[in-house]
Amino acid sequence: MKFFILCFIFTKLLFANNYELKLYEHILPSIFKGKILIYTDSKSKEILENSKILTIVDKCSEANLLIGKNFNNLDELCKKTPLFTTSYKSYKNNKDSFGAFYWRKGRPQLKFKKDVIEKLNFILPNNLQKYVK
Amino acid sequence: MLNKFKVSNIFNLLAIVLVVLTFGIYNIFEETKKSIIETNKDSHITYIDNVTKNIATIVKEKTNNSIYTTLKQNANLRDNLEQFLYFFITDRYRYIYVVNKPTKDNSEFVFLLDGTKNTNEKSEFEESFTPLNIEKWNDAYKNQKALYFQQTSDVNDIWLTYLKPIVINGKTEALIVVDFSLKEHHQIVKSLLKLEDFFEIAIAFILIVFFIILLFSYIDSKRAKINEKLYKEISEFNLTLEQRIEDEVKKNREKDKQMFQQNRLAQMGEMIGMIAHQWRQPLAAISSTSSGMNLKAQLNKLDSSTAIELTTKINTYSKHLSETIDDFRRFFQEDKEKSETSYDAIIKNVLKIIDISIQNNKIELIEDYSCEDTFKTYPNEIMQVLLNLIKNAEDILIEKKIENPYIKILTYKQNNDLILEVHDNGGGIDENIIDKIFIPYFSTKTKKDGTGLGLYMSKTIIEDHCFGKLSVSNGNDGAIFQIVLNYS
Repeated sequence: MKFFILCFIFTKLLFANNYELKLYEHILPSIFKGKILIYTDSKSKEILENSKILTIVDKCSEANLLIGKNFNNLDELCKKTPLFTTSYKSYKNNKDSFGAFYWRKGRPQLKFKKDVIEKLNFILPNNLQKYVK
Repeated sequence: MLNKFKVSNIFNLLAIVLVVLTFGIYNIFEETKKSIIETNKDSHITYIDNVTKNIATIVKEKTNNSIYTTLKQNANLRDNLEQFLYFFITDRYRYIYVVNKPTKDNSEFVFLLDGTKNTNEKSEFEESFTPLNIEKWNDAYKNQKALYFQQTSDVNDIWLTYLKPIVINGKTEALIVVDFSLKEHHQIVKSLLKLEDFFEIAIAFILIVFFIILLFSYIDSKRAKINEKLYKEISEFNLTLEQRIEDEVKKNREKDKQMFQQNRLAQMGEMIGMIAHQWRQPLAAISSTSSGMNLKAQLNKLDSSTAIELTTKINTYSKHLSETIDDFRRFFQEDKEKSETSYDAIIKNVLKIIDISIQNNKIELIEDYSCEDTFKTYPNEIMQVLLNLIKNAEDILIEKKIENPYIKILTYKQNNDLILEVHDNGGGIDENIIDKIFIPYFSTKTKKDGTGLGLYMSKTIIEDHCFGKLSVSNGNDGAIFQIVLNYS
């Protein structure tokens, strides 16, 4: 029984990770022009490092995008780097984050802040417009 | 009625009953399966419906029918109600929460209460939320009717969402959401589906068996028909069999009779030749004596004593001729009953007929008789056989122009068997044909001389009439014919 539960959870997680990676690979190239250099926290790193089109960097100063939920101790230099959060809390508390992707009650949640996107001059494709609040 | 009922019919009936019964059981199973699935699911849904009804009642009571406003103003009440929701959370009921009405564009709902304890998963008050299948959420909200649906279209997905609108004064104020699992229900369904698979395989197997039985039954009925036809034919044949056998026996008797007749005619032909031999000398003597008498009479030299002497001679010759006729007549008389005789008597009578012919052909006759016993048999028939064997030996010796030809007749006794053998030095019978010489119409003689019936008739006489045995073998110089008879 435990074996089946573990298999089920593992499959779910695998599915979730793939889902997230696919989502990032769909969204980010449509917003960012050129090479996408991402500085991220450990949780998101596990997902993003499997990507062939997104590049993970070790220093936030080298990145053109921050993805994660805990960036309280960032360098001043990095604070202007666009931030995409991975939790509702960080999305809500961080006014500079332009969007968020997280799971709530087993459902994927994608959100974009209209004012920040405009401020960053990001142009979202039509299929993502419905997630702009 | 019962006799006409074939075994194949019983098999057919059993096969049909089996198939009907199987389909009947399968139908009952299908109905039961549906009923179990529906009842099991309904019981889950009914339970959830009762739980959500209770939650709705409590929420309404605690918020005085103004849910959003009361909860926004009273954080303690939110905590208490969330604690209340938490009590219902189990492995089966993963998330229980309450959301407010949808946003204006119907794309989001906001959380009012969340029974989740885990801080990472717990949603905040007024947190916006985009559910999957949002159109169903909007429907539940608008239609004020509880509904449930599977979260994804994946048939293996065990997670469902139950939506219960909280309606106050005819207006939907919030939705109670329960994310629940039908894992046990799915397991029951899976077990039933496995059972259904088993049933389907069993039905397929039974159908195959059914068709095999039908096939065998068809073959069996065909065979039965053939058997019936054959039985009919045999019955009809049996009915006429006795008559047929009688007819065939009659025909055979007729044939044998004809053969006997044919053989007798042939023998008579031979006999005439033999009579001619026998008669030649006495006739010549009579002729010579009468010519002498005639001459003496013309010369007036025939006195009474000479006339008596010569007429006595003629008388003697005529008597001899008459005896010859009697011998031949006896030969052709049919034996109506067995009579006491011996080989010596039989041989003596036969030699009276053929002796002159043997002498004329300069064939040595060797006689060696050591069986003097008398026995009961048909003497004339044995004589005919012996004459035939001696005549055959004579013919072959003449035909092959054998130097120093001989015919040896011997008799002897062996245990209770009385044996008569006719040997010759004609070189014997070819081994390739020796088995065929007793077959009717088989002859080694030229067509002119042989009918091919002599040996066949001889064998029939010895074996069928006299219950003896006639056999042939090759000796050193020629053929050996052996007649074996017994005392009775």
